[in-house]
Amino acid sequence: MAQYILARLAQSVVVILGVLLLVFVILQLTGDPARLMLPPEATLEDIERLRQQMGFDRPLPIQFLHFMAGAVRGDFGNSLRYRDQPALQIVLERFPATIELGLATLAWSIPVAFVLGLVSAVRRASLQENAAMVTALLGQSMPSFWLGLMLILVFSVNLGLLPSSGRGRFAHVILPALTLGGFFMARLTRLIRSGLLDVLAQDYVRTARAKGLGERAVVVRHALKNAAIPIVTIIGLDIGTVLGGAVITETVFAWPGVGRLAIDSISVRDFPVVQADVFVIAVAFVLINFSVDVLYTWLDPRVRLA
Amino acid sequence: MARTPTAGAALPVPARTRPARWSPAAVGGFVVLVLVCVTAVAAPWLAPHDPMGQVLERRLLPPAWTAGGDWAFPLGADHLGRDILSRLIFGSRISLLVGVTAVAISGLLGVTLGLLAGYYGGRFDTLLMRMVDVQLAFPFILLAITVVAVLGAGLRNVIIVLGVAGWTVYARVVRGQVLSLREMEFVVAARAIGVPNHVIIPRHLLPNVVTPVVIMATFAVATNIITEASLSFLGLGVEPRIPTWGSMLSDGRAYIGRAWWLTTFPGLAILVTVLSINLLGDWLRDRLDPRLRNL
Repeated sequence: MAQYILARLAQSVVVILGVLLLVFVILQLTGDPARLMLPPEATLEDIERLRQQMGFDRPLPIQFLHFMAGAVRGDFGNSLRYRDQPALQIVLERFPATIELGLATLAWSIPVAFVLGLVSAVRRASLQENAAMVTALLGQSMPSFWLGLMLILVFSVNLGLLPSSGRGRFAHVILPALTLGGFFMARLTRLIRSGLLDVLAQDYVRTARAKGLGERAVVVRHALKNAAIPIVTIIGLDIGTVLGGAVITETVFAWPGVGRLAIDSISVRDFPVVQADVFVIAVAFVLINFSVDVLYTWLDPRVRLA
Repeated sequence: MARTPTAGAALPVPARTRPARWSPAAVGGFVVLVLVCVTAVAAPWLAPHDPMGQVLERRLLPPAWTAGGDWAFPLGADHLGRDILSRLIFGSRISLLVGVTAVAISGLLGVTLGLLAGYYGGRFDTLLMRMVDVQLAFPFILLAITVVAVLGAGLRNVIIVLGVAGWTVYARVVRGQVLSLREMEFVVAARAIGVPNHVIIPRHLLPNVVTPVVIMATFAVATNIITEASLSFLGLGVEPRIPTWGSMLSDGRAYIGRAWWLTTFPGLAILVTVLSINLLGDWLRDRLDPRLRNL
């Protein structure tokens, strides 16, 4: 077990180093990052000054080493917009808001997906199955920002029940969490349903039924438990999608998290913050996957023995 | 398509997962998708007005069936007096163009790399899989937003970004299939009689990975349409003068309290198109390869 975790940890470190490399390469795609970071009306002197200040005038391998040395210490340089503040600090200040939104999203979407998935797998060819499947299909096909706008239209503009932007009270998180969780809930519903259908077709489930076990016990004790293992993995992987989706949702609802910070920073060309932001989201994603893998080995010993 | 045996082909597919030849949902999806494609191709003939034509007297004109509407502009007009229906019709072109072209790029890239990594293995395979891990650590939309922000918005850049960002899923699945295929008798036999690798890969391996690739590509078109709309919504999509469903939503957002039709119709267009592709993709997957249902 310890050996598996260590190997998986080493793999995560390699991925994080790769993420840093990608973050560095993306900025170099322009050919001249200094020109990108400054507004179009900047003079040649301005560009040259920034180039020297940020070290863009040095050879590329040196720049990369410098960037890596800073990044592993959490130093992505100072924000170009808020001159005195380190980029990473700005990102980390916004991170709790994204965590809050993410947790609120998972808190409603996972239970709802379980109920819909379970109902649609157990009650085949019924009205409930059709309703659950239509909900899932619509959720998977709907752009999240449109869902957000429609929720604002109905609950904020027409009914005046919930706020359409900001953060603070519980009411503020309801619409963003519904928006962000729509796709996740839909995808999870379908996965739970197909996972359960697979398990329900197994011989041991037939045996359980044959020996007279009640349907509830068959589903909860035998089917759900065995279907849970791949579902946990998918939930872990999809939490990353929730983090990515936060970029759009936070923009729609002016939610002050790292997703909105990324878009704001891109629009004012504050690339040190963009780099720190992308890095933090990617690291969070890698850490979540690592945790899920460890949980997975605990749930299913065959994985660590393989 | 002639299918030679694959590693998993021996597994019996439970009868419950094998659907009828055509399901009503699949037929519905197919019909809607054909209609969207015809609309995109025939846009200049179908659109009742110039999608870019601004007439300020009719700004925020409501849909025809509501008070103050005009049947000459069935879905109303936007904040610059442009006809919503004509913009929706022209917007379908961008959605389909980006969706299909980006999938072609990512499919070509991912399948080629997956075939080579799976067949040759070794360091190339290890390196490729680490690259896949790194790219998967980035939420897709965040990667697309960052690269478009650096490269600059525009149709070409959006297609390139979505094309290049989407290769990992193909590479991973194709590599996995090839890893088992290369040990199968028909491949071993081909190698034994001296068939060179550059013939084995396209002639014996490629046809056996086409099925999952087609299924993944179908779903990827839907994902790309949503991502393109998201980028346009954030102002990072195609040029502002070109009508797209995402940019229409973005424009309409500021008027959501006064003109619901600006945000409702473009979103419905995206929803219907993506839904029809997903329905078709579901049917294709259940029909061709039910083992891929976790995709």
